[in-house]
Amino acid sequence: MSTTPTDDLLERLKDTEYAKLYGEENAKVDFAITLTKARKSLNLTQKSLADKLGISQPYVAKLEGGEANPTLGRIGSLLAAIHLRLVTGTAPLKPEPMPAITGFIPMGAADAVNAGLYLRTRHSQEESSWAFDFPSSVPVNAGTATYPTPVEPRRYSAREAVGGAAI
Amino acid sequence: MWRVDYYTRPNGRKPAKDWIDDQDNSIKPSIDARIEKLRMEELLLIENRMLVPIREKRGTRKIIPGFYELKDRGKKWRIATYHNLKEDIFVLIWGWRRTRASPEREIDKARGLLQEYLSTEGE
Repeated sequence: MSTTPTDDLLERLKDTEYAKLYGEENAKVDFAITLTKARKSLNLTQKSLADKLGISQPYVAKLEGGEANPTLGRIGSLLAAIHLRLVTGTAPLKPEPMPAITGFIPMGAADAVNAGLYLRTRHSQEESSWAFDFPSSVPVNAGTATYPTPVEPRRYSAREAVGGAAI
Repeated sequence: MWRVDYYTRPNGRKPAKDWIDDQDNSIKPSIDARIEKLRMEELLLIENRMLVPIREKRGTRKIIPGFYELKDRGKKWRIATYHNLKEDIFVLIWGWRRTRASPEREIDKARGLLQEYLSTEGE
């Protein structure tokens, strides 16, 4: 029987010790993505973010690459320097199954011959519609998010990232 | 959300799956976490440089469209993956550990497997 990477992961997650290791890596990658989202929402480069946080650019790169393993307190302290705070939530560890309608495809994607350009186009569409994440409930598979600290007024309303027409 | 699957060669082998299965738990959870994130949020992995384009050959700047390295720089592993736009799927082609010695031969192997995949897919 043909297995996919998701099938293999589901099989490995039956081992509690493996699940713990996976959970640790998953949390680091989740935070890496959250930090990158926060940086890009502030239109900062890694260097300028590093300067604001009082850390080195290589360390920012490590944080965003999921390679570093800062403490929760350290994360809170770093985010506060850019007027953000961390909000955590939980979601099922097991991978989500593919929905019947799979993702979004921008119009004209079938004509794209450069996948890199295609992905960048999708990304710019998503970037223009995404501001801050303000989930009213914990989204499935969401690990962490950032929110402005109380001293910073809310500038954006809740939005969903939309990449194009649903198929 | 994207589909992610292993490349299956004409002889039935799945080089990327075989490589992943051979790894121990010091890096396998990291591989699984990034593959899962690729499935869920691949664009952000490009921003994080966990997913980077692969060049046509060493020394050139020209990239192979749709061909990427999924990686963990800290744990020093790479998996070559191809984004098949027609099938709307990321195909895991080949994996390797990055050592101090040049990994160019590994990338060459990945390029070769990609050519095989593209020829069998009729692209």
